[in-house]
Amino acid sequence: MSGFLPPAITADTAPYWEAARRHELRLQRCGGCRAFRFYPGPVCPRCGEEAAEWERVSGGGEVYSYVIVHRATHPVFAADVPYVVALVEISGTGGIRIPSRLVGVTPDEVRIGMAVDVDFEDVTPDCTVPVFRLARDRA
Amino acid sequence: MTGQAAGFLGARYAIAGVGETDWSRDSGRTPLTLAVQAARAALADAGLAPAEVDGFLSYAESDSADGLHVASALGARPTYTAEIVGGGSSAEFLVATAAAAIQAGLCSSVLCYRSMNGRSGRRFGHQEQGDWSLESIYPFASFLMPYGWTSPAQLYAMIARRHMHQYGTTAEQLGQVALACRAHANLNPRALMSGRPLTMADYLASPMIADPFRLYDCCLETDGAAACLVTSRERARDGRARPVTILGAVGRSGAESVYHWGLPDITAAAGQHVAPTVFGMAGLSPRDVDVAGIYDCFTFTVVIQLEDYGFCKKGEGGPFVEGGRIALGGELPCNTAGGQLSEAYTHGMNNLTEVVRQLRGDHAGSERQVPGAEVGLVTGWGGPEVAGALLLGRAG
Repeated sequence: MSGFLPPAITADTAPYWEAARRHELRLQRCGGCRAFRFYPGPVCPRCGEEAAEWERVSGGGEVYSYVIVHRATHPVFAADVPYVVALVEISGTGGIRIPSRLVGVTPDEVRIGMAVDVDFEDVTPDCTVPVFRLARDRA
Repeated sequence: MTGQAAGFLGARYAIAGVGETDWSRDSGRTPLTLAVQAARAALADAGLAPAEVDGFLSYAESDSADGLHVASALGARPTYTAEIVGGGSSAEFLVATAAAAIQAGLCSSVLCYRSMNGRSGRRFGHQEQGDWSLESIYPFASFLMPYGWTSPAQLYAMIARRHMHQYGTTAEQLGQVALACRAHANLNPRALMSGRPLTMADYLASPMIADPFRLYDCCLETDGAAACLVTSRERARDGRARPVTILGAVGRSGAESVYHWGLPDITAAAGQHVAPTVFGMAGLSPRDVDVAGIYDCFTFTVVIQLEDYGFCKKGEGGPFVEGGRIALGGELPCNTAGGQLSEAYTHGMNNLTEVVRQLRGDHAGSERQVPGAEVGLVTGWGGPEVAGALLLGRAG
């Protein structure tokens, strides 16, 4: 991943990005019904509880769907094409799916259902993004 | 058959006129001028003077001309104007809101329009243009953009891939939608892709943009404007054009989360929530629909909306669009002016104007006319998590 656009980090989303800088994947989890939720929000849409924690999750998961981008719609990604963006369903979270990039794969070998693990790319001194690698490449 | 409509609208409102500008990739005109030209065409079609229009509704997308300015340029004095954020479900939202505003006594005749330089001006998905931000549409965009997941094609291709995985939907089935729209555009001299026939081989050979989407899965980018005029059925009857009755209207109806990609099943669009309401209001079912304008920002969006509006079962949209079923002469002709894939991209307004023309019989004597069209469905897609729809009927 050479191209990158910085996220606009808000008070709602800062814990996610701060965890990523520490190379941790953390998801918001309701303090009442214990449901994970994504993207972050001020209240649990399921039970109405305001209290929530940012719980560290394993970062293992599987590819739920993916797109092979052949035409970059922003110049910063032009050197990356073709690249694979994916929805990754994170294990042990009740089906939470997060958007990300698959790295270390050729587009042709990607399949729905492939097991993947989170990794972290320090794209700038201030920002780290979670990406995913095939679980077969697990160190 | 149109029947007697139920619901709050009670079939009391009608579309009295429609109009548009020419379509181009470089209009050389401002969105204000385009809006005024489309408005004047719709007013002439309805046989109304600008002073008779007191409501103006448009899209709030920061690339258009707002209702106060359009009214002022036309020489009208508005009593009600609004710009709404609705993306691709806006056309239906505007018409539903227009009928509700008339019913509430806020105004009596409403111009609904979409105007933009969608190719020469601000292009959707082009984040390098500073005034366009995915974050202005989706609060979760910051979780997409860092990865280069930024354009509408990429967002919807993610859903298409999953649909293909779950149901076996094929590229050739998506291609059927592109071919039907192109065939229709070839019967419409105003269409941007008129005179450019498309074969399945051409479709399959077109370059991948956001795999599984090829070039011809993606709609056009267009400079232009389209408009329709909503008023009471009585008033519309006095007009020049044959009015088309609004039998059912759902504005902007959402799924349980704006983060569509986290919903239990991403292969269904918000149309599934809209369909029972709009058909219920009209007392009609999908079997009653003679002609449709199905929101086609991508070929795939037609396939899944046909499922979600009940024309076939979930997962069977691919087979449904085969065999010319959605082409003129088929069981459910869709997007008969060429749609956004091959006529012009107007955020849905041109699919609405075409359904109106079909129900009026404007194309009588040509191949483009759906014989005996009495009921039309227009669907809008404002992102997969939100949708709107109209059921329109030929006035008796």
